[in-house]
Amino acid sequence: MAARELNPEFLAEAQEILETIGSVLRQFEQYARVGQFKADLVNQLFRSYHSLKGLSSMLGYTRLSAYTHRLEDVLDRVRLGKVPVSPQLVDLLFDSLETLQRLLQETTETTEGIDLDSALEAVDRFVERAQRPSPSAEADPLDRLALDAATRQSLTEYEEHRLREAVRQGLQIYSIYLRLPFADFDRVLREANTVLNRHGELISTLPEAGTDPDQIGFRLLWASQVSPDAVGSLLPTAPTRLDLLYIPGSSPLAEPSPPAAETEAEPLETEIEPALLRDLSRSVRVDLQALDAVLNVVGEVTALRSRQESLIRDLQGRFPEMAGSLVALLQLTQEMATRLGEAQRHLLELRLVPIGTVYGRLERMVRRLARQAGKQVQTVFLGGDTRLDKVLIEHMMDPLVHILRNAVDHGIEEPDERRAQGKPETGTVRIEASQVGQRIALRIADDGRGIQLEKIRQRAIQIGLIDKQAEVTVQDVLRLIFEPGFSLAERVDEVSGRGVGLDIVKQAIERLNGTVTVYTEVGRGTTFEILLPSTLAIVPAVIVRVGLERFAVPLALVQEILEVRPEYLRQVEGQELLQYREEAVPLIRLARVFQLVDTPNGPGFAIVSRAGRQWFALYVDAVERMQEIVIKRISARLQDLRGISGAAEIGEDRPILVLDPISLTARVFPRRT
Amino acid sequence: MTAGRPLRSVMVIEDSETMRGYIRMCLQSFFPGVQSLEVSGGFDALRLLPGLQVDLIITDINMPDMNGLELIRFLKTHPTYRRIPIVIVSTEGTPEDQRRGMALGAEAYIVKPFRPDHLAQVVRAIWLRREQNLPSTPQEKPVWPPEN
Repeated sequence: MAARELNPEFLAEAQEILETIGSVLRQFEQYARVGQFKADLVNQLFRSYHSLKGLSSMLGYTRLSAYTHRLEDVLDRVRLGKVPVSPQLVDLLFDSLETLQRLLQETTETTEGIDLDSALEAVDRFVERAQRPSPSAEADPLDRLALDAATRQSLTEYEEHRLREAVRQGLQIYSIYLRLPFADFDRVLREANTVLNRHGELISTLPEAGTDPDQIGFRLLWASQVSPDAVGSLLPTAPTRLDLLYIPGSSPLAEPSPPAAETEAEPLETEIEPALLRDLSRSVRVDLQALDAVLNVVGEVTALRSRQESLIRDLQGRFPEMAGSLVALLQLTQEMATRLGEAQRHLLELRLVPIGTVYGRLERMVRRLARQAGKQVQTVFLGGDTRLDKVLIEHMMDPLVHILRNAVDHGIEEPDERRAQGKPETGTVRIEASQVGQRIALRIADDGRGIQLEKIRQRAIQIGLIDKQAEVTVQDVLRLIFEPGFSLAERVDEVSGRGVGLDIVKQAIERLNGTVTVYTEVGRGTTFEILLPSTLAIVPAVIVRVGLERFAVPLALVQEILEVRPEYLRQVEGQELLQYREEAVPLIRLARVFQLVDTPNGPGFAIVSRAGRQWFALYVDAVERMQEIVIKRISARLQDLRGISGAAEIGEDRPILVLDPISLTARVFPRRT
Repeated sequence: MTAGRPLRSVMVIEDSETMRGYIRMCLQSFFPGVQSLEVSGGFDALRLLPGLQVDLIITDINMPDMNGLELIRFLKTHPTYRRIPIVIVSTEGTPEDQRRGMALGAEAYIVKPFRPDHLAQVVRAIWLRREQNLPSTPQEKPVWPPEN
């Protein structure tokens, strides 16, 4: 496993950190120009460099990590009071932001763009000049605090330093104890933090165990000039206890001067190369829901546009005198369709990620399964750059894991057995992704013992799935392994998949509008072929008419559309067959399936499709047009209606149903048993 | 994992998303089936802990909303949580804070950057010890990289 797998996340987060540094620096500058220390801002800067250092070292970007380390060290000195805040510090930090941006850019390139040594030297020179002499040995001001040893033990060095500073500045130090209801303690604490930082410095937030499980206690260490009787009214909730840990003696209070104006500082006028302003991260984290919302809007506009087009055509028929204008209008609206199509494609692109991003996970899993099963298995991954919808990939993980489990557990033989059969001792599981037209094909193949059809047939008879006398084809047998509850394993062990059958795999894939087919050869291995749409959201579809109803058929499921002539049709044992090329395929009359008004005499069309290896044709009255549709889920009750995968708006008065030819065949041809 | 109950769920307290992802990858590749419960700071950790069964906590010290050391002390003195082993993952810049974290009862600390197998080694040692019901003494606490 390489940490570099996390590169896109790293770039996005690093870029965010640089932006945070920039915006905090602009606030910090207002105080620093007048030499004023603002603890919360300094600490935010420190934390930002600290995080960036940690991340870049983790990913092995040594140049970036060396430089951020040096800056973190400067900020650490600043927050511990070893280096004073000054305009020079601000300049150094702003300059360093440019260097950081370039170093970050380097991580995406092959060359080194900047002279790191001189950048580091610049930081060192600054520290050398700015360093305060270390304070002479004096009594630790912390000893003057009424602070119990246990609490003191858990303060960070930085917090200790801030407490010392507060004592030196003659501030009062409070210990505020709040008991808060568990339900919203963080909200109250955040409010308290804001108020306390406005009127002083919140140095530490310390959680405390209590007896009431519905409550949680916090002790806040706060340095401020506010008088004890005024503290209670500042807080969002009354403190359970308020202690003064330190009361300044006669030491005069230094009046901290607030910055001149509350307004945002003007951005500094430094010359920055345009390239540096470019956001280097190639990834923006977008909530998929937000993306879907935009897609839906585009989809709806597309539907409105279709409706507009049919209105224009309507007008063309009625007002021939306006032909010229109407043609121009039609061209405009068609141009709009093209543009909307582009928008949809770009939006859909955003959802796609290479399937290779999960190969690492799958490989580790196979390795582990093999170890547990005492088998030798190597994995081969191909087509990692094939891109799929992100949501789809996540939904595919469980089915894939299950198929891989089966391959390792049942498919690949023990090393001895393999040797005896003249196979290499190490079995191979091959996972291959490829784009097939509009669809994505995933093939998971093992070179194991294959599926023993007879064993499955026996098992199916045993559990009553098929009749003893029934003649079953190879395909029928293979379909059985996807039946609910069908399992060859007598016991439920860890590798065989915890009792979950392949029926779950099939269902999961079908829910994604996909199909799964098995090919097997005894002694040679088994291949699962999964076909998926590359995206879930928008699919091109053929709009067909049956009687007075319209349906959409996803184009990815359409092999061919034929005009049906009577000579193409024949009846065999009550099943209507369509001659399609060299073969006769079953013809399904949608009007009958959905009990619609039939128009038997008109010339019709056949939509040729297939489910796995089963070819079939859907008979419709008319093929109206192609259109991109947004498939929307329909109510659970209708969802169970086999043959329908959802509904789509196509710019008519009401949505139309989207056909799912695959589940339709299951409805029309219930398995012959 | 050698014997006994497998490590099931690990809470990761870390404000960097990338770092959380890295720790998750490390855990999942060495501890099959482990679930990582990820939070970005102490507030969320405290809020979520009562409803969760957590076997191990991996935490940074430097956290945005509260003192990480005190969070460790809180957990280690809490009647319910004190048995949950804690691994501190921090950068080398804060040795004193690490020393304090260990003194407060953390089981181990690991210095960033670390390799996946380093984290796995430390976690495995803690879990083994936990399984054998052995208390850990300060000398035996796993630390990565090992001190010379």
